[in-house]
Amino acid sequence: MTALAQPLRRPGALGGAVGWVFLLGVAVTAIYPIVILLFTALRPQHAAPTGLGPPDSLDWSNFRDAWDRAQLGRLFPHSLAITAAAVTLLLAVACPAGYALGCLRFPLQRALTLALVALMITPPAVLLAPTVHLLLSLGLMNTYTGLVLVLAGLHVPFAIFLCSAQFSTLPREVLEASRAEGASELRTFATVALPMIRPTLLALAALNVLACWNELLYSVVVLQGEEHRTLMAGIALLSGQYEIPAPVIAAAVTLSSIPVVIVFAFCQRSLVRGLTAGAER
Amino acid sequence: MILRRATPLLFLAPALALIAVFRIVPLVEGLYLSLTDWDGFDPPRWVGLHNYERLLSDDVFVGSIVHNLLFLAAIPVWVGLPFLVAALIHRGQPGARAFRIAAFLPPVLPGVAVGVLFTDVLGYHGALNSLLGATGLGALKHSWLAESSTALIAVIAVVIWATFGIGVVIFSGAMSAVSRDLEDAAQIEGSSWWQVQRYVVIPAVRSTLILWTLVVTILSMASLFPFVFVLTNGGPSNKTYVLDFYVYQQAFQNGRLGYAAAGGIVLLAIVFVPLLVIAGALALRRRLVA
Repeated sequence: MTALAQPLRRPGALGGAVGWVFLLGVAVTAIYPIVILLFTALRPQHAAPTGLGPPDSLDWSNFRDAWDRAQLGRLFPHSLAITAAAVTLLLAVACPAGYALGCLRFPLQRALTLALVALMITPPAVLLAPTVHLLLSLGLMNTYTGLVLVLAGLHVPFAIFLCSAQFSTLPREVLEASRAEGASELRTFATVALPMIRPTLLALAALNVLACWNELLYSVVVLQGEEHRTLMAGIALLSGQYEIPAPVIAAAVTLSSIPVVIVFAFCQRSLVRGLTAGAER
Repeated sequence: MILRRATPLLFLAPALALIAVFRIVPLVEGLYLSLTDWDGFDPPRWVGLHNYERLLSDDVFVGSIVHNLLFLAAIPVWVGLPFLVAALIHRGQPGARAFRIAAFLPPVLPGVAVGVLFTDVLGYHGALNSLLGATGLGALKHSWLAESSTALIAVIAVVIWATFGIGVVIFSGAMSAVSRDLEDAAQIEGSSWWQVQRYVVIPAVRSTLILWTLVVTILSMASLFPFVFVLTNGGPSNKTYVLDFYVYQQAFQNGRLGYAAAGGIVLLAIVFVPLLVIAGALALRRRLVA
């Protein structure tokens, strides 16, 4: 390398001071509203809104109040069960399909890929009314099973897509070696291929846990009636009621967001990897 | 031998069954239902294209389409903002990871939480107006979600807030693959930071830019429901009605499921027709150039 005429300025030295200020502004805008939510949740119920700052006194009883009035004790298990079931089902179904798409050969493979992309692009609301019709015909309206199947169906195309992308990057020699040893395709899939894409599976699980936990549209429509409602549906319907003070709703919302924040905290690196892998494809 | 041939099918079967029953069947049924009048209880009643006629003459529905398109008008910000953030932090400087995590927190939150959060922040006595007052811009105070002139912009801003972090992550991933030597070389030749971005980084992540633009377009058609539901419920004066909220409203609150199905089909057309046209144009151009 020839000698440099001038010292090499570190290129993204965050684009200089302007860049720093901009980034800081963005970070504050991203985080501070969440802080405000917490302030609101801790505000005494009949105190006036405090704008930007913390409330004058902290009222932790809002959380207990939210728990009781929103019946969070009942709704949490509903969402937990539905999320767990839907994510398990969709992963169980998507992994073999992704393997077939990524590692095996069969007719109409490209057509299937295109179909999956088309499904991923389809807005969920398009199928709202006919899904109600379908569930009614199957007797699954207002049942957990119904919602689980619907949610799985909504998220399976992306899962298959991501799995197949990851499976197709596996070195063929490894798979061939397994087949040469006499292992059935199922064996090869389960004992060789599947463990090799474990990071993707984790990312996919995390992404779908978030998606199912946060889902609102079908949760509200499929599970009507208080006995079965999901957490998000319950809180969304609560937020429309004027008699409930803002601090209580804020507290309810904070409590209901804790699980996804925990998932985020633990799986953050994995989520990032999952998203960028999907984007590359 | 036959078993070998059937293997892919066996692997695909469960997924295909799930997709067939819960995606394809409803799609076909939706087409049928859109031509009927159905309240969810009595059998559907055939009405032909009547639902579609009614949709096109319904101001609220047409307004929904307009509002959805207005979301697309925000694309420069929706794409530019995450791109800028990623560009500034993609060299892995200290603190870059913290910024990325900070940006990634909003997308993790449930739409309901975001809605409740901003109902407070954007209220007349909320944080935004407080900030405006404190910085001497008190004259700009509005009841952001309750006034017809500001409500939609407010909702768009909230949705951008809730989703730009995903773009930051996606762009960061793409930019990390950009050759550092190339950037350094441009730097040595005296290019400013902005020039480096414009002539080296942007071309390198062009496909990601296109991808993210497509993603936000889909988001604007498919994911607005929780935000509208909590923030404004479609108001004020129906100024924040969007297509997926409209479909929900007709199906669930008005009990007009045939009509909702028709709305869904129009939504599908709005998403797919431009896509197919663009795809067709691209394919045609490829064939002409080749």
